[in-house]
Amino acid sequence: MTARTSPFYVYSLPESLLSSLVPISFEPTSSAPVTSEQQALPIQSSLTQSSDPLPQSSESTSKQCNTCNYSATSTEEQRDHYKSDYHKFNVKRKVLGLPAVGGPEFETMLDELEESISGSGSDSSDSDTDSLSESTADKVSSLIAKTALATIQENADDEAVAVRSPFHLFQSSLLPPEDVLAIYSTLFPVPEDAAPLDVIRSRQLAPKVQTQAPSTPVSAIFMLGGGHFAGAIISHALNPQNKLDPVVFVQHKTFHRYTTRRKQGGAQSASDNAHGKAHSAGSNLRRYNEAALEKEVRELLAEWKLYIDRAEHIFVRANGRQNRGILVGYDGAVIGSRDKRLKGIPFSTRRATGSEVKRVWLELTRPKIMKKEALAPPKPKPKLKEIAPVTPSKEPEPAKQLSPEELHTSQIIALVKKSRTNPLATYLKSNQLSPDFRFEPAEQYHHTPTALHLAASLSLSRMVTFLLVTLGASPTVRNDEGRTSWELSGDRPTRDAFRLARAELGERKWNWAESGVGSALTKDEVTARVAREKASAERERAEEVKKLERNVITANQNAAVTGGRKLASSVVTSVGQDKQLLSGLTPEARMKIERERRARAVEARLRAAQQQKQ
Amino acid sequence: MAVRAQFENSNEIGVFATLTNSYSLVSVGASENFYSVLEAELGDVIPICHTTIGGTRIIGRLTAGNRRGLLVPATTTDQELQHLRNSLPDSVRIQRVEERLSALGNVICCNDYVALVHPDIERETEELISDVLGVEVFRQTIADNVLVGSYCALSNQGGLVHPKTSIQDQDELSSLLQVPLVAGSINRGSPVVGAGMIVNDWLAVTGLDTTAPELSVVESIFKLQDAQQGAIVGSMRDTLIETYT
Repeated sequence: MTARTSPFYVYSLPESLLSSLVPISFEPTSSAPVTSEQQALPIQSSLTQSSDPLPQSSESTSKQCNTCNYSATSTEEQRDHYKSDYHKFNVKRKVLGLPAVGGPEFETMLDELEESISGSGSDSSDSDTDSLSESTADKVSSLIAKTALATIQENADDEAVAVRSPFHLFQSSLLPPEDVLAIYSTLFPVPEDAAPLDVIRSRQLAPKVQTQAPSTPVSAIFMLGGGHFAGAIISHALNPQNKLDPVVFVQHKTFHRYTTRRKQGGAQSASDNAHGKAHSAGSNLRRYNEAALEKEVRELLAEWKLYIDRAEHIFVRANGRQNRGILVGYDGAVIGSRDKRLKGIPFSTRRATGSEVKRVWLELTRPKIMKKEALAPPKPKPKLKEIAPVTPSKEPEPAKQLSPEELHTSQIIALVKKSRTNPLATYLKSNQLSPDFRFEPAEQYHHTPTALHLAASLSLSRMVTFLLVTLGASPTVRNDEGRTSWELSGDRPTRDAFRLARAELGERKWNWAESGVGSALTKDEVTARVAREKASAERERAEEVKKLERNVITANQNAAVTGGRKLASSVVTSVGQDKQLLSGLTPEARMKIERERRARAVEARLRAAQQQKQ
Repeated sequence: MAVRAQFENSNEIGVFATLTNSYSLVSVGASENFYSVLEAELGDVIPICHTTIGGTRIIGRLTAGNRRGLLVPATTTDQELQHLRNSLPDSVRIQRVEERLSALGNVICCNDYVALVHPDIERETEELISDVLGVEVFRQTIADNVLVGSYCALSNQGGLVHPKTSIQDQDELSSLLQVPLVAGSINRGSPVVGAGMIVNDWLAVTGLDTTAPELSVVESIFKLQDAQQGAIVGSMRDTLIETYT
């Protein structure tokens, strides 16, 4: 329902507006007759149809189909009718509690269905291949399925209409004719002794009212949930000076206690009731906090008793019996559970905070301006016929015309990304493109304008080699940022690919200095480097292990010197035994194992110390 | 001939047995009392076969058949199917039916010429029914109930339908089935006539609770009396049967 908040305030409406207000009733009863009339029509028509054959019954009762209100002239015709799709459809409708449809109606429904099927594209090809009889039978079943669905939706709509509107609605000559003023019904007393308009009039505040004066009417709002509590006594008079924050709190208080189970949700007491008492530290905390919250809230309510007693409305947002029980209807409660002023908040609220209380008050007391159409009972859901023309409109929009360059670009990019070297060569050759083909549109590919740039930036070393050596792509091409493909290469293998290519192609081929490619590199050099690095890494690892062992030994010696218990010594010395095992691991993994061992040793030592004490 | 019997203290005879003009199926009970009743009536005329269907005893509700054939649900085991094939005459076709509505006895009501079926039954099943049982198939409801097999007992002579079937519906159905129909109850007022009794062209077995008027209605509509009794009931016809086509 579309509604916008008006600038008015329920307790100080302009006199001119107030005098022009006319209540319009929007109760379920007002909308119900409309729907029932609509439904009644087909029933009546079927009644008139069926009333005709009754006098004839003496002549040809046996040739009459009661389901379809169809009378056949001969037995053969009758039996044919019973086998027809039309009859089957009506029998199914009868089972669903729907009135029978007439023959012509059934035909139109079938046609509509056909349209909707042919409109939906993929299905049509299947149904066309079916034999005729089969497809009609399928149609009947799908027709039934759709009708059944439609009835369910219709019923659902009826229910939606039957829900009471949360608003009292008023028309005014000052508003556009299609607009209505909506005021939350909760602001009116529950047994409606007086007309709503009189209630509004009687509650209007005097022009110059003191916000804090004891004569000024107040309302109370209490919100409780998830361990958060916010309560306020709000003066009905707004603060005229502060336009942004006009709500005046006579009293207010918020507090929070940790009561809800983190990540699991729900109150601790609910969990206790469901699964038995938990014995964790957290659960004890929460249990204590729940009790404390209840105590604090009730103390606060007792403290505010004077205000609460003279409050015009008491709005309570407390979900669940437990939360509500904290606020309302306990032994010696300030707010009785049967209090007429006690009301819920007719919209969803956020976490209980002071600002949320203010928002709730403003939302409640600012009348809304609504469009009348939104208030009319919802129209029946669009039927098959209306759906049908929508589907073909969903056809994909005509593809944007791509220039041949753009097509080549997308093809080349796809091939480069997949590292498909040979297909790329074939593609370039067949389309007579140079390996330095610049991607289109240029602004989109300013970073990687060529295939070589792209391959370098994606660290596709094999592709880089292929482009440079086989296809002869130029490494001197610069992108819009003035960088060559070498400068985009992300990792060492890619850079090596460039340098290897430099060695293979020779210094003459390109101006290598301009391309920025590092000095030429041969395969042997690369393998030698790899071997060197491997060796040094192994040496480092071995040294580290040695160092570790030395540490352990010194630690043991220290322990021996200080005369400490050596219960964990067996664990620690095993380090030496598993040296071979450890040496195969990465430094991180080794550290982890080491840490675990130490932790175990500490535990063992602690246990031993305890035993000693005993 | 109409007799009363109980199947292990249950009056719902139609649940535990199937009766046609060429064979009868009886579920395996703890005692043979019910079987004895049937055997006394049918023993030397048609075969009576002890069986279960899918391991259950409610064979009357799971199967549907007539003189020509027998339909069993998909739950029937191969062993049971083989046993049925061995026990029943060769002229009876036995067919397993893959149908969502697996209680075939509840959704099919047939004699040797026509069958009424549940409106939602699958088209393939409908074809099977007309093929195996050699009948014309009509999708119908009885007194707005879709379970036509439960609410109708049918033979080639006549039919008994749900007591609340309207006169118009009875007219319509009887013109469809080409047999006289009567609305009535069984087992002291039970409306589930299909499940409360079994019937063929010369025998009806009802629950032990069936009252004398109910039984006499059954005898007259299914034409089970002897000749002289028929004369008496012929004069009573108007009081017993409201309409007759």
